Amino acid sequence: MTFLRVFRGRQGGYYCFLIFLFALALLPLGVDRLYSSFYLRFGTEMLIWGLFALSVDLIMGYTGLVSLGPAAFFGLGAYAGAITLLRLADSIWLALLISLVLCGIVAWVIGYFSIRVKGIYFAMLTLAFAQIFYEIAFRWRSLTGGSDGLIGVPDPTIGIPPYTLSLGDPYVFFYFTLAVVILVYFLSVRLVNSPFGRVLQAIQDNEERVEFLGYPVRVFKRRAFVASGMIGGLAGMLFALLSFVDPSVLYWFTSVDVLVMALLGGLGTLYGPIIGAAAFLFSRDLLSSYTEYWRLILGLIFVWFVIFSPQGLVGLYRVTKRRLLALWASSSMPILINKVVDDEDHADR
Amino acid sequence: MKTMQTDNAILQVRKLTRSFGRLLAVNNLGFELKSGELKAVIGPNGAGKTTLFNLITGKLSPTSGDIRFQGGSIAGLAPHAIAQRGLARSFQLLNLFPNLSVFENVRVAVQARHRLRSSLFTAADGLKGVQGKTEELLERIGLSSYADHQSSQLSYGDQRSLEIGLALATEPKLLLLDEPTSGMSPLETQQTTQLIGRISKGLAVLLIEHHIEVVMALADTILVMHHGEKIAEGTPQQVSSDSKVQEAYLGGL
Ligand SMILES: Nc1ncnc2c1ncn2[C@@H]1O[C@H](COP(=O)(O)OP(=O)(O)OP(=O)(O)O)[C@@H](O)[C@H]1O
Ligand SMILES: [Mg+2]
Repeated sequence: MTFLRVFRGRQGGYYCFLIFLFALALLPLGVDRLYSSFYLRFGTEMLIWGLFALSVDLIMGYTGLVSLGPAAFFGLGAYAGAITLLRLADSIWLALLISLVLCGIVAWVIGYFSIRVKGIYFAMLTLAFAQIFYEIAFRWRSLTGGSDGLIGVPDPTIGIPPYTLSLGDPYVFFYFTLAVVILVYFLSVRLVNSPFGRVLQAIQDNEERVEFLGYPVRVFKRRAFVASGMIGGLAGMLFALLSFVDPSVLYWFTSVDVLVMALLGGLGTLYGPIIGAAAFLFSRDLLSSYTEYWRLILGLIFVWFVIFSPQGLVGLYRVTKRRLLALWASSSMPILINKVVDDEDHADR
Repeated sequence: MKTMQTDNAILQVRKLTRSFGRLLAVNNLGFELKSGELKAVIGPNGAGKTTLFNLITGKLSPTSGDIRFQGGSIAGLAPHAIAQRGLARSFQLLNLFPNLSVFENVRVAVQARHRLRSSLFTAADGLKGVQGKTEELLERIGLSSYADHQSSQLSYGDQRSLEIGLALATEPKLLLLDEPTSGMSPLETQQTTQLIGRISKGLAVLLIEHHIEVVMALADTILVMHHGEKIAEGTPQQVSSDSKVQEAYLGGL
């Protein structure tokens, strides 16, 4: 019974996510024994994009705002972090602070203008803002290094001297990223279950009625947009430490990739997009070793999901599990299983 | 009924006009509503009743004229600002949260009055008083046993009750109900009439209603609109014996 309960309804996908995180946390143990150190870096990259995809879920899966410009915050966070480390001080905390504050302010301003309009107009405005930042990164060579990107960003350390660890160490950086992702994930869970988060979900369902209940809908949307922008910036900042910062972090491909990851995983779950990011990167890695047309194949997979499993991997998992349980129920132990299937139907509502 | 007294009027509408192009949907309308009074707004289709509600609740802004609620002007304010002052409405067409549970529909509405309604990291389900008030309200509108159902799965009549419940949950001082019995069976209409009778005690209510027996059962006063204008106002007796009203109804309904 307890075994069955673990895999029930909404909780089912959630537990799979915890297992995934746990397995990921053990990833460093296998380096050089089971696989090369490339996979440690790869795991870190999955976590960073997962964090970025989670930021998209907050506005798209919980508020109903479809932004086409999440790259603006990812790129801004990356540049702000890298420039702080390069020019100001070799401190991860200062870099984080500047990235978060800057992304928060910029998200507020973009939100202020974009949230006045809805649907496709909102989407186009956010895309336009992201393209503006892309242009700036290209042209403002003295600050951003233009198309060459930022070279020689130092690796910051964490801890209190003399007990410090360098984030340049792939093991340290992996666990640092994992800790950030877990922290932000649980904060986000709290957020969506807070009074504020519940209003966001009501806005997604029927924003007119929310307004007539006395909530200033625009203000709520803008706050959600700011929260999302800050998390996106945090992901970008981590990306700057992992990899190389050039204008491509701000390019619209970055936005498209993260939207695909979030949709692929399953919107409105917070963990789905993290799994979606991992699945996306894993497939890209696999496919690109066979063919340079990996985008085409990934695109087809994506189309399949949009049509046949709009709730993404999480939805696919739920449906499959329900069918399997129903199949099992019809062959053996009918009473016990029927009850489980019933419960699950309730949990999904 | 006594004559209109300005001092205890909760709502005052003065020379209110709203045009859509050349159409005057509401034309130079004026009336008052006392606290605790239930006023029915009646009139043929297209008379401008819903437009009047849209003007009062901020969905539309007036072309001219003024609306005063508890002494302060609310004309042209945003809907949320008006709602915050204690004015709630139900809609002629269902306007619920279809994908949320019945409980959550009401809970979000109750939360709108709470001090921590936009708090970020407290648990919504732990908000003091909100859970209790939600249960109480579900009891009042007779939907307690459906609390866990998705609201779009309710019967049409129950969804209409929920529609009223959402407005009521914000603890308004003035409640505007736009055809709460539209599309209902005779039995549901009767139940809804009783529900409105119960909830309207001590509350100021504006009620748009086509069923004349509902109006007669509930209304303290009646306002009759036709082509955006007020053609009669008074007690049910006064209004039903008014010749202009009979004309409008024979000509227009
Ligand atoms: N947003 C709008 N734009 C243009 N015309 C409108 C708008 N809203 C209402 N009207 C017009 O104003 C007039 C009054 O409409 P309203 O909905 O207020 O009537 P009503 O009295 O509520 O009718 P019913 O009993 O059918 O609900 C109608 O002619 C309608 O077509
Ligand atoms: Mg109407």
